Amino acid sequence: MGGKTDVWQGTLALMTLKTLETMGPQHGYGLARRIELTSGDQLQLNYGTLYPALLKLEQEGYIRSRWGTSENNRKAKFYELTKAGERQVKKAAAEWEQTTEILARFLTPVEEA
Amino acid sequence: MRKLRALMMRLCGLLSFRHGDDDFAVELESHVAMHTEDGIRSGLSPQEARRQALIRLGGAEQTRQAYRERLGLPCLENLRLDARYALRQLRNSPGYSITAVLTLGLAIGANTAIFSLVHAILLRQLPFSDPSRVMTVENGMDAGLGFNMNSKSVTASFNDAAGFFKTIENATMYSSIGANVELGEGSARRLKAAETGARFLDVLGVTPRLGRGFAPDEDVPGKDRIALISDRLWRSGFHADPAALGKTIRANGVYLVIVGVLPPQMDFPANVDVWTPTVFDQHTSMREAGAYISTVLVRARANNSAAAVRAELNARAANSRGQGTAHASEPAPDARPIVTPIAAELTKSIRASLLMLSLAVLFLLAIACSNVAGLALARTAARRREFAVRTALGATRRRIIAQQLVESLFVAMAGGASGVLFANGALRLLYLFRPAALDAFQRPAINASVLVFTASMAVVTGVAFGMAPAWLAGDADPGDALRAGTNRSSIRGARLRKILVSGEMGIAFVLLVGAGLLLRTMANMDKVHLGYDTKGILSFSVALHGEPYISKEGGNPAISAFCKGVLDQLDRIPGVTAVGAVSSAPLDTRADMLLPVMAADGAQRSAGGAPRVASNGYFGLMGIPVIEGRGFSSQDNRTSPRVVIVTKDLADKLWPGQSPIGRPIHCFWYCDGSPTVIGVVSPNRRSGPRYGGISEFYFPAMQQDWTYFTFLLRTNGDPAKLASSARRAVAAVNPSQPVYDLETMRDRLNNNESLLRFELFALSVFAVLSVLLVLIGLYGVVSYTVTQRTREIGIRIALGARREAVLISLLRESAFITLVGEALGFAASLVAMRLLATALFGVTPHDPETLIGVGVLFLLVAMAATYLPARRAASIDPMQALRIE
Repeated sequence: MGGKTDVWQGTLALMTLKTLETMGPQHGYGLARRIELTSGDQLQLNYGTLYPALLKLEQEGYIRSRWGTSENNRKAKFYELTKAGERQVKKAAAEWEQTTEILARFLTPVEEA
Repeated sequence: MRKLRALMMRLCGLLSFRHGDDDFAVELESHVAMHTEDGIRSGLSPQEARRQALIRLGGAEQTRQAYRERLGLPCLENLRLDARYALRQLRNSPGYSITAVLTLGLAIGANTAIFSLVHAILLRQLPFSDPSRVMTVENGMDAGLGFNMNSKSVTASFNDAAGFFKTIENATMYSSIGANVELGEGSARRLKAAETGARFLDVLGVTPRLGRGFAPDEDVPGKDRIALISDRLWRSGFHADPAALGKTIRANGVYLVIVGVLPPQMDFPANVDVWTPTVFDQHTSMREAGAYISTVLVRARANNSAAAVRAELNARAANSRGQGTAHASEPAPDARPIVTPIAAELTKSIRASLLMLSLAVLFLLAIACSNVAGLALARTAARRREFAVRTALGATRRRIIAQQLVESLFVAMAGGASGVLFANGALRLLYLFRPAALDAFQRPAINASVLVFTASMAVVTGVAFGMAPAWLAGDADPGDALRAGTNRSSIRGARLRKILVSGEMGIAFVLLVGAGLLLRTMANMDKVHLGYDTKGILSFSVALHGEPYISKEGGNPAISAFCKGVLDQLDRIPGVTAVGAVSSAPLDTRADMLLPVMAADGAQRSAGGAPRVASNGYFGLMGIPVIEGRGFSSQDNRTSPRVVIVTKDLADKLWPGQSPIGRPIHCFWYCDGSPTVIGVVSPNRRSGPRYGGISEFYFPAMQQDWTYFTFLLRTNGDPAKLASSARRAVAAVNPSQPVYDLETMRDRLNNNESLLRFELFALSVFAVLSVLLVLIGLYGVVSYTVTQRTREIGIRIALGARREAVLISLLRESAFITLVGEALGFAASLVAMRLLATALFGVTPHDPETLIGVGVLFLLVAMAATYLPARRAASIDPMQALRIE
């Protein structure tokens, strides 16, 4: 339908963790923009869903947060990966790659035919 | 792992909820600000940029809500809100809350009290190792677990049980007996002792807390003069001094060396303080009870049930009978080996009563539950607007039901808490009527397990009575409810309440029938002619032991001198009108032994009878009529001819149709010189009104060396007041002889029926409570109906209906509810009363008089409970009724 895709369940966590891994500590808004940018503006992120997802990751111990100051001098909450988070990124990324690879095997021949 | 951590964090989030929420408000604000700045930078107006930012966020409030739900646990959060709301609601209707809490408290309290008894007695953990393997065996003789009635000599297979039986690891036996125990110099105390086999402790799996147990060969004469003492005796008699080991005590005249002290929780046989592998008095006539009644105790091998042991013993018994005779006949069922697990054996006298009372209190709880459910239903109907408004504002059905259940649970928990308080009082009250069967058990306390039981009972109760009202509350139709007038759900609620009241009546009917049957049993027993008096008589016992009183060939004058001395002393007490002594008085609970008695005049007849020794004046004192010949006199002594008095039934068996006076008899042990019959007395019901008498034959106290006496004294005043005088009388003759079982004959009779009294008392209390609750329930239903129908009744009266007709229609409705309940109760009674069958006396479990009486009584009180609100309805002023809305 539209050019932009909604983020589907479960992948937002991995995108968040991966973004934090590459970018380092980020505040929520920056993180959201970064995810959209990385997706080449293919993804339409509902910003409201990002915060509960961040809270969940924090409760699970993959990320931690602290208050800081943004680039234009605003009080903002910054998120960063924990050790457990770093491990989780690798694990989840590997799993995801495996999943997509398997799916690709199913999908590729159909597209060729 | 991660899930668990998240859960913990969320639980914490619940506590610091407000803080987290405020934090997020700041974070969200900075998010929107940054987004807005970006928008302005890309050329939007500030307002437009902010609008876009909020749109992309998906709404600030929704986001906050989603964040909040993740922050805490929404279900717990709801629970917290429900709890607050419920408390507020309950505070707003104190009438309902107090009634409900008290009703449930009474019922839960009754359940808690009975359960604490059940827990302490039926669920008691016996202080034995692996107690399920310990069992008693009756009729084990044929199977190889044989023993001599007069001593502990046992068959070889008994001693070598492990080598002989496949299912039994060890076997022993014991007999409990009263003992005069001297710990050192000084007077004796009267205690209970157990004469046991040497393997007694091994079978039970009990280790002494101090010293050692018995070695396997220590029940052999010569080695058996040793004893174990209870922790209780060790403390009271030896100040818990370890030096008690090795000390010598004297029990029933036998010197015993203490070899060990048993642990405090070891109380088997109940109330015993001295265990010894010896036998005190092998001669029957020297024993207090007249017989050596011993119990065989075995320990089964691991993984062998009572059924397995029973099967092996049965097979062996059948085998040995087959070898013994050419035509082995099948034994009567009660002659086959009987194997009973020790826990069941110890509780057999009280088990049925406790189960019956447990059922009764469960009934009471069911009534209380449905009563409170009825109240809650009325409340639901009254609150339907509230539910309708909440539904209209978006509350889901589930939320409303959950909220109502929380409210019920609060009431139930409060009921449970007050129940614990009630239970304490109830236990005290029950113990006022404590049956003798409970004496072997300590008075239970409300302990942790009982509290757990009460708490779970409260939760179940809360759900049970809260279910229907909650469901109906969830049913509220916003449109329907917001309109005035009766609605569907309140009509359904009212119908449900009537059904509940009918059910309650059925249950209360059963309880009332039970109490009624026990009451009739009690009345029947009071009417029974016992054959002796119980009023104004005090009795106590003395057992003579020690050198001066040893039985001698040709008689020991010290024994009869003691008896005569005490009788003379008793006679001098002011207010005493008669005195007497007997070897075993009526209502003595110790075992009796029947001996064969033969007519020694060539009649060739014999019959069983219990031998007794009595002083002159005994029959007159007890009110036992001498129907032929004479009673004993002071002339019946060592120098006069030997005489005997028989009961009428014994005389009729030995000399049917003839006068027995002047005829001689033969018997074992007592009949030297063939005593002649000088009198005939009426038989008596010595074991109480439920049992017939047994044949007895009496010898004069001055002609026998009998050392166990029960002394009796009669007074016109209160016999209990003579107790200390009686003690002094014995001390005046010999201060070292302990007096025991000092009580009035009335008390003995009461003790005899104490279990029935206990059941009757408890069941009556529960029945009366249940009837009260049912009446409250019925009153509530009728009042509610009247309130609901005020308008209708007003219109009817305005249109010319007679007021009596209104009254009658309400009474008719109540009568219908009551009759349905009674029909249910009647059917249930027919089944439930079988439980009581063994307790009843002179009345059948479905005694028509009791059933009809209870039925009529119920109908009358139901009409009375209806009359008050119904009269209010009949006096409604039509104008006012129509103005109500």
